Amino acid sequence: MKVFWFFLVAHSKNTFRDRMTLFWFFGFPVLFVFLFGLIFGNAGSSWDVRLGVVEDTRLSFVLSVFGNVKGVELSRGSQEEELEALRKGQRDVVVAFEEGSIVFLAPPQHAEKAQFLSGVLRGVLLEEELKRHGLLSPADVTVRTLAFPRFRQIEYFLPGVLAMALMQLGLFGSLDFVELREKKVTRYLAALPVQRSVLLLSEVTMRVGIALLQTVVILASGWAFFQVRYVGALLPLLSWVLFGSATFVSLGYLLTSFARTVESASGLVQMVQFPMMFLSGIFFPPEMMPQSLRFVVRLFPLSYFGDALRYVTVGVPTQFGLRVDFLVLFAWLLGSFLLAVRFFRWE
Amino acid sequence: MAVLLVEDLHKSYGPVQAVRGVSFTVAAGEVFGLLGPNGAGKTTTVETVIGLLRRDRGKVLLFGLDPEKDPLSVKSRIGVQLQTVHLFPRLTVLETLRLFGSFYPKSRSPEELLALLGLTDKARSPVEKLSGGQLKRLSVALALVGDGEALFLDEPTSGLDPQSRRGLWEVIERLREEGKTVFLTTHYLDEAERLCDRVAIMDEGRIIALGRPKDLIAEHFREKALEIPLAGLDDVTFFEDLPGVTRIQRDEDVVTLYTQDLAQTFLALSRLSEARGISLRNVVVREATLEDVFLRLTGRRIRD
Repeated sequence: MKVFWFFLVAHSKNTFRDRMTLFWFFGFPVLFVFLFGLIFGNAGSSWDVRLGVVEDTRLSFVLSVFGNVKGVELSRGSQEEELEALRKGQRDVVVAFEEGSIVFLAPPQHAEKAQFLSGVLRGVLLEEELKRHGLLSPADVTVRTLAFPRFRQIEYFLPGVLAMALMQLGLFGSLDFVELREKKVTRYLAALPVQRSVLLLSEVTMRVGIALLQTVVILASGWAFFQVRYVGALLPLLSWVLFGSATFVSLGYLLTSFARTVESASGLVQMVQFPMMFLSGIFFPPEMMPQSLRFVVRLFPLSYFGDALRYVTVGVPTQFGLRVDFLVLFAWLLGSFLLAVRFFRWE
Repeated sequence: MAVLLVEDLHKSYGPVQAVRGVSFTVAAGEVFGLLGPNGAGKTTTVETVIGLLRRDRGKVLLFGLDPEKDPLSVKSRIGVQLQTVHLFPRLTVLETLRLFGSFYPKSRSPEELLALLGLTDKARSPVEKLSGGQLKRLSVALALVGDGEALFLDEPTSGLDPQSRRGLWEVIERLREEGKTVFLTTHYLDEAERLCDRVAIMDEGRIIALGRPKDLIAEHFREKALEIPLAGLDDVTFFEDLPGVTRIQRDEDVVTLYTQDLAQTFLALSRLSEARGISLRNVVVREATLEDVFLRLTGRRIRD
């Protein structure tokens, strides 16, 4: 046990003193979140509202009310255009005229903004002015929360980055061991009064620790940059993070047991992780991919891990169903674990 | 009492017979050297003895225990110099020593070992920043950190600069004073002669000579050696006919005469030098060494 702790501390120091490792495991995913979030996501601060106003003469006064309000970004379009923009996350709130009422339409995460805008409208407008525009009383200004366009791109994307980071941690982490094997350190450890498995165990333990840290850092960066809200179910999140990490750690050890040198191991890992990264629906929803590639998506464990993580972090409905996610990932875990044990080499 | 007993040890790698029937004992407190050229089977012998390799045949007892059957108790009583210390490149020298110390029931103070091996000012350097010689010294420190009763050092001085080599000799002499048993391999014969109580000379998987360095030299040589620079001389056979000369050895640019009667040989040589125009200015006279013993036994130089 004492030796385990010594090894764990040694592993951790060795890893955290390497700036490149730190960048790849922490800086890189956060950078991803930030950049892709800027491109796809809602980059505005929480005080800004992107308000779409449906083209309707009865709504023209809305433009004059909000036209000078700081932090409200106005756009105009037909009802279909504005609703589509809302669905895509390009608007936070759309105001329309329906059945004698002014309706503020918003997805749940922007419901507060819609409430705020409607309150402003009710308060600012004098009753006479309302009447001048006909039919309206403050009671006719309502808010309706929409169910359909719930998620912004960033909310789809962020759990995917987490899945990718945990995959890379698992796969690339095993390269350290290949290096020890290549330099014959693991061989010479056999001459010392220490169980070599302790070395491996402490290494994997440290990796799990890093996985948890990555989870915190990546989720926190989404919250800090883009106000991503999380479901907040800690236990399912923790279980899935550990489950997925275990799968990719096993897969990493399996892949690298076939390589003699760090270079060849690294090539092998790249060959697996690179297509997986781009074809697992992490960066683009599979609907955006050509039909011919979609079956590939269904082969990769990362597809299912990302799918499950999207659900347990931000609540995006799963594509395959949690049960399928679990079963497929478990099959990968079991398969790669058993094969990794079978083909494992100390020397 | 014998700390180590090896009997009829055999080890092959596929068709290559690396060790073919080696037997020796090492007594407690002894500094024992295994000498031989690269590929002689020294490292295989060491690795089999400490249980890193499984032997094919023969008997090995360390402290009366078979290292294959009782590995943990044997390993906790020995110190082994690892060929590579690249365990955690970004761990400092001191941290690495502490880590290795944690493997053993009792350990020596890392600070003391650093001082002993002249690494004190490198204590806080990451292992990856050390030079080759410093790594070598660290590997020796790691062998000592467990305070083992018997120490196995595989080529502890190869790749060291002369000053560090001499420093390491002092370390080994200190270990002898502490009563440790030291088993080392080397292909530096001067080192073996100076350090070892007894040496075994190994060649092609066999021990071809075993004993105290002085005894080995005396057994094989009553002669002294005369080294003459060749300087363009082609035919050297005539040296064999000089009085007292028993044998000559021709190398690339020097010929060595082994003589039982140095005065007679030298006299004849000086007469000859005038006739043949050989310069005697750089002639070296020396005692026979283990190198000469190896040469006589194998017909080869050890570092060819």
